[in-house]
Order: sequence, then C-alpha cells, then structure tokens
Amino acid sequence: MDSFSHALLGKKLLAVAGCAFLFFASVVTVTAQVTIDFWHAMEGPKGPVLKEMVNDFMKQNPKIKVNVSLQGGYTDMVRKVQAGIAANALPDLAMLGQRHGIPQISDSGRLLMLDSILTAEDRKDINPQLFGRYTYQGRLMAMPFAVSVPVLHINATRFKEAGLNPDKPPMTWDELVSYAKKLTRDVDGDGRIDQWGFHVHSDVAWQAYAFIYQNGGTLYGPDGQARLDSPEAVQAMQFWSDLVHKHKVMPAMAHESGSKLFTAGGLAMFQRSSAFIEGAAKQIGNRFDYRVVYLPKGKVYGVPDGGGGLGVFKSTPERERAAVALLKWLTDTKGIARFGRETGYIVFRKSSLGLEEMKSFFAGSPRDLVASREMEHVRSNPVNHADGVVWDGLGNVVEKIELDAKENIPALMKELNSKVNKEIAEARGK
Amino acid sequence: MIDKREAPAGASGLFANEPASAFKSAPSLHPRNRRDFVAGYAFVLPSLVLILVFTFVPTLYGFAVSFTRWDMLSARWTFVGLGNYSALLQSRELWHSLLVTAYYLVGTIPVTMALGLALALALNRKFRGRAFFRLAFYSPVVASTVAVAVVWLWMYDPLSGILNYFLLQLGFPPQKWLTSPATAMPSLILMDVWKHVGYDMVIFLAGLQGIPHQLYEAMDVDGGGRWAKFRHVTWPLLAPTTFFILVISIINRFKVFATIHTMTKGGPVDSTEVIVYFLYQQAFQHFKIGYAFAIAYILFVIIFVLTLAQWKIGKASVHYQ
Amino acid sequence: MNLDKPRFGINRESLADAIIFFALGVGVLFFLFPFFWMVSTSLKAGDELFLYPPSLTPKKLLFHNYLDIWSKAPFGTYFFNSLFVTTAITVGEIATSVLAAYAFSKIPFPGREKLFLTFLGTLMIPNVVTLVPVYVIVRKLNWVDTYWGLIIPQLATVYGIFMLRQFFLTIPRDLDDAAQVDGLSRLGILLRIYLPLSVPALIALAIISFINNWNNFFWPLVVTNSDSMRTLPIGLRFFMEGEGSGEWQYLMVASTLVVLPPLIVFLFLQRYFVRGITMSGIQG
Repeated sequence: MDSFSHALLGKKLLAVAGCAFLFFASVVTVTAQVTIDFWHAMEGPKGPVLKEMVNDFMKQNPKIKVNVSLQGGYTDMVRKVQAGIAANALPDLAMLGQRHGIPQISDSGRLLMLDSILTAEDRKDINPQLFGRYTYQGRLMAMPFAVSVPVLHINATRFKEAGLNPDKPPMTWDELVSYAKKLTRDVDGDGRIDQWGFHVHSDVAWQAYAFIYQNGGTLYGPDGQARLDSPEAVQAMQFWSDLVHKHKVMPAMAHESGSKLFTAGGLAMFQRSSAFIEGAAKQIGNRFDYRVVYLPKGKVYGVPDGGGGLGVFKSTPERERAAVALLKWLTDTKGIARFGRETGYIVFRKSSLGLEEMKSFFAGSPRDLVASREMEHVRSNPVNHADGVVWDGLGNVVEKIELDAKENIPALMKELNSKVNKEIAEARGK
Repeated sequence: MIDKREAPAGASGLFANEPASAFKSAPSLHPRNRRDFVAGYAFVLPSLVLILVFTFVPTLYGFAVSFTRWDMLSARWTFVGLGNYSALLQSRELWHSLLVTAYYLVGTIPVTMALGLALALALNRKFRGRAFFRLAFYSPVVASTVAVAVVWLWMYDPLSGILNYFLLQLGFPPQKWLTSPATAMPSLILMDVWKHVGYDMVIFLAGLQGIPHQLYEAMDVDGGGRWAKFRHVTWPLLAPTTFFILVISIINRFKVFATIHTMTKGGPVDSTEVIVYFLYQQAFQHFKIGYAFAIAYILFVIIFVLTLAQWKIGKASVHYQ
Repeated sequence: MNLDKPRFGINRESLADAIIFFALGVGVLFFLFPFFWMVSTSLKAGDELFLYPPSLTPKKLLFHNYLDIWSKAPFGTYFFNSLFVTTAITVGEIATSVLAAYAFSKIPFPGREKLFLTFLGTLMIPNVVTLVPVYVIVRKLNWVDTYWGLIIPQLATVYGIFMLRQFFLTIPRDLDDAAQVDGLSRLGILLRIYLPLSVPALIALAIISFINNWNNFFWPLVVTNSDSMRTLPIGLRFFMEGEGSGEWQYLMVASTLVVLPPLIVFLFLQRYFVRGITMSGIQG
C-alpha cells in the first residue's frame, strides 16, 4: 500500500477509536454510581431495621450506594455533626432530634431546606404539628421520621388487685390522683411503700411538656417569647409537685428507677415514651397484664412529640438528589408503615394507617394502636436557640420541686422564663 | 538511731533532674560532640512531632478560640478579647463547679491513698494467695470506666438496686445514693475510691519494696514494734512515693469526666457538676465554644499552679543526701 | 522491751495478722461484688432482670447469651479493632518513649530540660479540650474513620517517656561511657545495653498503655463514623442507650467482654508490673 492510504487508514482507526471511547465514556457516566453517607441515631435493636430498609432502597435504586452508620444517640449525633462541620466531614443524610441543635446546625447554612420536597398530599397526610419540631425561622429543616409520644403504661394486674377496672383507666387529672392513691401501698407491712401508683421517666422535661400542654399551656407564644411563667404552666408544675408531696403517689427523684420498677411489677402507672413498649413487653413477659392507655387530660388532651427526623446536608447536586430520594423513600406511605411496625415508632401518615398490613398489625398490637391514636393530640412549637435552655431549665425545676415541697414554683418558672427570653434575644442579636 | 534523712542507695528523686548517683561528672548539657547534638534531637523527634501536632497545636488553637464567641457550627464568630474570661470569673457556675471539684478531690484522694497504703502494707509480706489479693484489689483499675459506671448505676438504684436491698436486709435504712444532692457526690466518691485504690496500692507496694530490709532489722534490734517501724522507717522513706501519688492523683482527679457523664450528668441540681463537665456542657450542649475553652485554660492554670506549688513544697520537705 | 514474745502461741502480732487477713477477705468480697453482679446478670434471662427482690444468681445459667451477643451488634469487629488498635498503640508508644526517654536521661543537648518540662506540662491538659481541634487536624490528614486516625494521635503521650526516663536515670552513666569508648553509637547503646536491662519497666509500661488504650472511649467515639472501625467500649455504650431497648443482660455480657482482656493481661504479667514500677524509681 502506498503512504497515502496508510495515513487514511490511520485516520479511520483513530476515528473509530475515538467513537468507541466516547461511547464507553457516556455509558460509564450515565451508569455512574452515587455514594452517600447516612448517619442515624437508632441504638439497640432498631438500628438493624433501618439497615434492612436501606438495603431494600438500594435494591430498588441500583445507582445509589448508601453507607449507613450508627453515631450513637441524639446527643452523640449532634457532637459528631458539630465536629463534622468544623472539619468539613459531614454525611449526606442524618437523623436529627429537635432540641439537639437544629437551630444552630441550620445557622451553619449546611442544611438543605426541605419545604420544596413536600407535596400538597404530604401536607394533608401528616399532622402539621409534627413539622413544628423541625421548623426553624419558618423553614422546614428536617422531615419527621422516628416519632414517639409519651403514653401511660399500666399494670392491669395491680389495678384489679386494688379493685380498679383496667378497662376504665384514669381519663382526667383527678382520676389519675384517685387511682394512684389506691395503687400506692405498703404491700408487706414493713412500713415502707413498695408499690407506687404513678411515676415518670427520666426525660422529665419532655414529660413536663405533656403536663403543661394538658393544662392548656404552651412553651412559646405566637410572638416567639416564652410562656413558661403563664398560670397554666405554673399550675402544671404545681400538680407535679403535689403528686410527690401532697398526694404522695410518686416517689421523689428516682426517675431512672421507673422503668426497672415498672417491669418488676412495683409500679402501677408509668408515663414514658411509646418507644418503650416493645422492650417493656419483652422484659415483662407473662408476669403481669401490661397495657398502654392514653395520657389523661388536664383541661385538654395534649402531648409533645419526640424522636428524630431526617435532615439533608448540602454537597454536590448528585449527592443531594440521592439523599433526598432516600429521604422520600423512607418517609413515604409504605416506608413509615414498615418502620413503625418493626420498631414501635408511631405510624404518623394517615395513608399508612389505611394500609392492610397496618390494620392487621394493630389488631395484634393494641398497645401500639393506642400510641398511634394519641397522635391527634400532638402539640409542638417551632424550634429556636433557647430550646436547650428550656429543656435543662425544666429539668432543674423538676429536681428542685421534687426535693422541696415548699419551693416557690411561680418564682422558679418566672426565673426560667426570663432566662429563656434572654437566650432568644441574644441569638437574635448575633 | 537511724538518720531519717538518709535515702536508700539507688533511689532517684522524682523531681531531681540530676540525682547524684546517676552522674559521676558534673551535669552539663553541653553536647560532647556534634553527634550527641544530632542524636539528642533525633531521638526526641518522633515524640516531639506527635506531641506538637496532636497536643500543642490543638491547645494553642483552643487558646485562640477562647478569645472569641463562636458556636463551632456557623462560620460567624466575633472577637471578644477577655470577655469570656471575665464573664466566667464572675459567673456563679464556675465557682460552684470548682467547689464541687474540690469536694470531689478532698473526698477521694486521702481515702484512696490511706486505703492503698493499708493494702500495700498488708500485702507486702509473702503469703499464699497474695497474688490473688493483689489482682482482686487492682481489677477495678483495669476495668473500663464505662462498663463499671453502668454496673454501679444499677446497683445504686434507690428503688430496685441491689445495694439498698442489702441495706434493708441488714436492717439499715435505704439510701438515696445518686438521686439526692446530699448523697450524690459521696456515692460517686465511693465508686471512685473502689476504682482507684488498686492503683495507689501498687505504687505503694513498689515504694515499699525499695526500702532496705536492714533498716527494719535495725529496728528489731532496737526493740521497735510494728507501729514504731511504720513511724520511723516506712512512713518517712515512703515520702517520695506518697508525694508522687499525691501529685498524679490531683492532676487526674481534676480531669474527671467520664464517671459524671455516665452516672449523674452533673445532677441532681448541679451537685456533681465538676469543672470538666461544666466545660463539656458549655461546648456541646450550649454551643459556646469560646466560653468552654476559656474554662479549659482557667483549669489548666489552676492545675499548673497547684503542681508547681507541690513541687516546691516537695523539694523542701523530701530531703535527699 | 519486746511485748511480742510468743506466749501460748497467741500473741499480739498473730492476732493482728488474723484481723488483717479477715479484713482483707471482707475487702475482697466488697471489691469483687460489682464484677460478680455483672457476670451474674450477663447469664440471666430477659424477664429475670428486674425482679424485686433482686435475684443474686440466675435461675438458669444462660451461657448462650455470650453466643447471642455476636449477632446483636458487630462485637466481633469491635473486639478485633480494639485488639489491633490497642496493640499498635502500645508498641508505638513504647518505641517512641524509649527513644525520647533515653535522650532525656543520657544525651546532653541544649534545651533538654526545658523541653522535658514542656512535655510534662502536657499531662495537665484535659483531653476534652483537645478533642475537636485534633479532629480537625485528623480530617485534614484524611485519617477520619481509619486505623491511622485511631492510632497515631494516641501515640502522643508523655507518661511513658516520664516513667522510662526515671528508670534510665538509675542506670549508671559509666555503662554509656564504656560503650562509647568501645565504638557503639547512641542507638547501639540504647538497643544493646539499656533495653535488655529495662524489661520489667517496659512490661509495666506496656501493661499500663494496653489497659488505658483498651478502655479509651472518647477519641475513638469522635474519630470513627462507621461500625466497621469502632472499638469495644463504644460498641458497649451504643448498645446501652436506646430509647426503649434495655436488654441489660446483653449489656452486661458486653461489659464483661470489655473488662476481661485487660484483666487477663494483668493477671499474667502481674509480677513484672510491680517490679517494673519499682525499678523505674518513679515512686521515689
């Protein structure tokens, strides 16, 4: 062959090679995988459930790889996120709890605002009160996911022993007191009470919210200022103090013991999160008749919500898209139904409650049904910087009033109120 | 009569830099040759680099941050000069936490040292099963604080815990342990003593083994009993050991945190809020990093001054030839 | 005047001995009780945990709790990580400490004493303070969630240097001089002469380092993100707190697993430990 055709052949080969390369390159980019990190705070047996769900998500979405890892509890999570922001080492999706820094984390500007991903159907499907916990300065910073409410765990066997009907549990504060009085006894006659009528779990601030809401109070007013010194809030705390000192149905200070005492059978009524149900059932076994009922009302029914939501951290467009996709999958109708069934967290989507598998689930788990019904009474406030102060402050107030019957409750609440407002003002002024 | 001021041969003082027995020639830091100069720094280099990078620089960074107001989450921070420090020194909480820490120190250190010494004395003679006893008393030291705290937390439970159960069986009133401000700190102190006695015991044992037998035999000849032996031989010769344990104990106890964090979280009603826990709360719960680092530096200064003071006192009262 | 002459076989001395022995016995019971409670609970069934009155021993010894735990959480991984990381840190610590201690005790070089005092000063810094800045540095080095991140920052500790320096000071300088005359380099002196002499002290340091690093909690918590890198104390803590789990028997199994290895290490190396500390002269 002469040199001219050599050159032509060469050019042809080059062209073919070039096309082949472009073809493979485009195939590779189109099928490129996105890897995202998902940090969660589900300690104990609930973690594996989440992992399973994420595995199923990955099967349905082969282009997205998710690294799921447990970061401890909500407080550990916040520390990790704090360190992560300082060191630029953040995940794509993270589970965040309300008082655990959402305002401060939002201030960092690293969270993606989620208002745009909610459809009109979502807003109809979900109790708007649930968004309060994750709303900062009018924007939704995280999607509700693992939701719990405080419920009343009761020992029906003790009820019957005391001549009370467990099918008619206390529905009001007055009934609560009278029932509890009958259930607080010195069983073995040694002069010391060994069976208590009522107790509250060690997350006392959260339980205090319940009392405040039940009395018609709120934590903040519509103007964003604290309302902890309102008569409703003060009376709620007075009721708490009375339970310990006046009616003597609640032991002072030993809140860590509550769960143990209840599962041992020495506590008739126990106010704690719905997330306790599964573990309690396992530990109680057949030793007594364990049931779950509504929290009684004061002037109204009202409960706080708890748990964690899913937040997305800003990064690259592909990763954000993938993270949002995972978020939507986990929190859609089927996702919430499955998560709730397998972990004991509340199924809070109305559409999920309508699913066949949920109906049969509740038929077999009356306790979870009660918890899920309590959802309609959830109250909440948008978060702000002072939430940590409210939480710690109320915890402190509870300690003080349990230790001393003569504490000046209005003064304590007023002091706390100004502290909270001061914190709010400082945060605004920054 | 034994000259009490004579230290046994071979002992080198903790804070003596050039003990007479170790150097024959006059101590001088002048390098003998260039090779020593290079070798000296070369040998120290790995540790130096590590400490520089992972202790020094972070500490300086923290020092710088203590002059700002920052929450470590947002990019915004403001320079406040000595604002954090002055706010701290005027705050009730700082002094309260220092008081609580002092309570903790005074409650744990003398008891732990006294018990450690007693155990060391008892276990210093060879008898069968001695190794078992040593292991038994040292085992709490070896155990992870987190694991231990969980167990004790449960034992301390006022309503269903095993300690109150035992008390009741023995006819004593049940205690409130960690749930009352009056008994919370003593409960923590009890657990802490349990955890650290073994450590003091082992160091005292080592110190005791450094005391030459001849001194005791001399006492026998002189007609001294046990108590006299202790007073005139053991106690004075243990002085450097006692001193060492005291210094280390104070430094370590000032830094106590994990126990409080796992067991009481500073409560009830702040009765167990030691200074490092106060720091932790400010940093990780109230997001006031600058403030927290200011606390850290105040703490550092306190420990430093205390240690320096002890050193000076120690040098004066613990004589060597 | 010796009042302690034996009379009828009972004298003041042996009475005191008996009392001491008795006190020791009671003391040991008290000391070991928390461990007994821990192990006893670890063998109980779930519904036996919170009985009142509490049961001291399980109805049936559920040894299979110790098998179940490996599936509850990746304790196998945690255990391996703890073992690997702790051993690596211990070895690294000894290596760097030996070098520095020798220099601080025997090699004259300018600035030596001031440098040593600065090193000592770092002992007084609570580690909560350095936590986040070190994390930032580790991140920049891309060591987050890696063995490097777990091991290297923990090598920066002064206690070992301090202890070995004190020990090396007790070795007469003549040895160094003679060896140098023989043509040995500084490194040679260290390796051929000092190390063999210091075996008990090195073992004591190894024990202390192993135990401290095995139980280390906060740094591994901060620097690891994924379960595959975590160590045992963290696994234990994560297992403990959960909104409603409370499977305390497994919690106690995990606690036992965390406590056992350091205990075994100490059991076998006990002898060297006390001897090592004595020889280092650190106590005076």
